[in-house]
Amino acid sequence: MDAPIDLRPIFRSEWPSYGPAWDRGVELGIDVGELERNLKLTPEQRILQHQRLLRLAEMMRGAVANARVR
Amino acid sequence: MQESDELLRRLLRNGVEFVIVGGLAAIAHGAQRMTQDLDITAAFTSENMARLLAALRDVHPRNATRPDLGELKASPEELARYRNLYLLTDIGRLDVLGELPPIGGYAEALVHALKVEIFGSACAVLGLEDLIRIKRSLARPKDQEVAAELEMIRERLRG
Repeated sequence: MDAPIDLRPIFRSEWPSYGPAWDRGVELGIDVGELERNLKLTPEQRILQHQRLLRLAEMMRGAVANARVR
Repeated sequence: MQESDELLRRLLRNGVEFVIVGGLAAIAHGAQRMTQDLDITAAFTSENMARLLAALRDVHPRNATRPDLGELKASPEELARYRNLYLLTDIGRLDVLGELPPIGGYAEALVHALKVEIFGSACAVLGLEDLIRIKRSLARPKDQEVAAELEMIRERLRG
């Protein structure tokens, strides 16, 4: 099986360092690309995006539960 | 399922005085970690509790820690004496906090809150510095992770 993809080298090379907290977050594996996309949204758009993800997660849980019953 | 957007619409429509805190505040600031509930800090006054009850009346609020007690029957005056309210409704969980350590409570949260436009209304979201302070004060690894991301966002916004 393949090892998990570690994107940290890409985050380090493709984005500048904004300081020690930024570097620490990259080391923790925080997805910098996702973070940048989120920052381009308004707070309202971020909340709505989160709600859509919650609905999708709920739908997926239901689909998996149904598949297990069958 | 959790419908935090609908809970927020109801609170705003009914003029409840509150500040969004917790995981959804972190999301509003740009963090990625999903959260299953809605946490707010609110003014624990009879008037505000009456607005809260009006906002939730038809979604059957009950005590989240004692759902066996059935629908919340306390009056606004009684609710105003609570320190925190942990509510379960037909459209999800809503934690209403009167205490917000180490910040204080609603009044203190409001001082540095970010005023944002949500669903056509002005809404207060806990300020980034206060949110980081709270997350850093909590021992849970997931809070530390969110704090690290919020600190990244703070640095990124400073450029």
